[in-house]
Formats: sequence, C-alpha cells, structure tokens
Amino acid sequence: MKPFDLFRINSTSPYKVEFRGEEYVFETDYDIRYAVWFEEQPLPDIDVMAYWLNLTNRSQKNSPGDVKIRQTVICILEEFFRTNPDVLLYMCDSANDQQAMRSRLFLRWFNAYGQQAEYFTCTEMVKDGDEENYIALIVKRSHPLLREIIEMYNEEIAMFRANKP
Amino acid sequence: MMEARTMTFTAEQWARHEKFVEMFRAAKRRKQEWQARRIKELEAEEEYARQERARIDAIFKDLDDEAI
Repeated sequence: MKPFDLFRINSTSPYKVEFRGEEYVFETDYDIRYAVWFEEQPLPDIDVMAYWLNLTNRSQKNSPGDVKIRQTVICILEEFFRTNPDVLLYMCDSANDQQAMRSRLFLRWFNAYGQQAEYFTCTEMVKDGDEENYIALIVKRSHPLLREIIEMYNEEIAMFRANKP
Repeated sequence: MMEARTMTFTAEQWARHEKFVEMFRAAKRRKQEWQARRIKELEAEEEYARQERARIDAIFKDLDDEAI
C-alpha cells in the first residue's frame, strides 16, 4: 500500500493523526486513543487488490459522542482512496457484541459525509458459526471493475447465507 | 443483494467461496492477534513512560531536598 501523506490528512483533520507502528493513530479531546490500520487482501479470482480497514478504540473506555472522530476517520479514508484506488473491506470490531451498531454507525458516518456520489458502500451481516459478522464494502464508483466487484461481493454474501449443502 | 434461497451455485463458485471464507477467517484471526500485540506494546510503552516519570521525579525531589 502506498504511504499516506500525513500533512495532507492533518491539513483537514480535526485531530492530529500520526503514523506509529504501522498504524494511523489519533487521540481525542476525551483522551481516547484510536488506531486505524489497513491490511492487504488479494481477492480470490478477481484481479483487484482489497484492503481490510481496521478501526479500533485502544483506550478500552467508551467514547462520548464526538463528531471529530468521524471527521478524522473520513480524512484518513479519503487519503486512502487518493493514494490507493482500490477496494476497502471493513469488518466491524466485535468487542462487547456491538458489531451491528458499529456497522450502522460506520456507514452513517461515511454516507453522512456526502460520499454516496463518489463511493459505492454496502454492508451485510453474515453468520460464521454462531457469530454474527458485518462486512462492509467501499469502492470508488469510478473503479473500472466496479460491476464485477459488486457482483463478487453479493455472490459471496449470498453463499455465506446459503451454506454449502 | 441476491436472494440465497432462490439461487443455486456451481462447484466452481463454492470453491471460490471456500477461499473467501478462509480469507475472511484468517483476517479476523490476524485482527485479533494484531490487537493483542498492540495492546501489549502500548502497555509496555506506558509502563516505560511511568518508570521514566518516576525516575525524573526522584531526581527533582533530590534536587529540591538539597536546595532546602
């Protein structure tokens, strides 16, 4: 993955973002530390590079409502797509069994920012064993393989639900 | 979103799905491992910072005592 331009992120981000130990980290006004990191994920049978987006609260305490977190994460994601025109997959953190809430929140964040015109976003719940998992897909609408990527995602989700006979 | 109930899949699609599920589970596992490793690293950093603060406080305390 191409490295991000921290100067560009910090020119618009409300919280100062730093790169530390392979992660982008920031600390909120409420002393809560967040980490954002990306992990490369080649997709099976399609010539597209995807990345898992990981976003986590490192302070092990709940954050009060804070719009600056959303704005900071969006700045990081915009920089991701500026430097890496690829696919993002997001698996919600399952801590405290709050995946569904996190999934909704994440897409609300992303879409509230007026991104629908530029990005295709979708989130689906799949069950792996007894655990509910939410997988979100974010891809630029200008991606040359947009249709194939969406088809693949939909098909994989449908197969997760169908369960192999 | 395709309706799973109304769909049938080929062996080839199932083979790809198997790869996808493996990939997904591996990503979940790596995420948990990464989290655990980073939490340990942060705890170690915080412990180091705490010890350094204590060491520096002790130096200044000694200096204050000498001043008195």
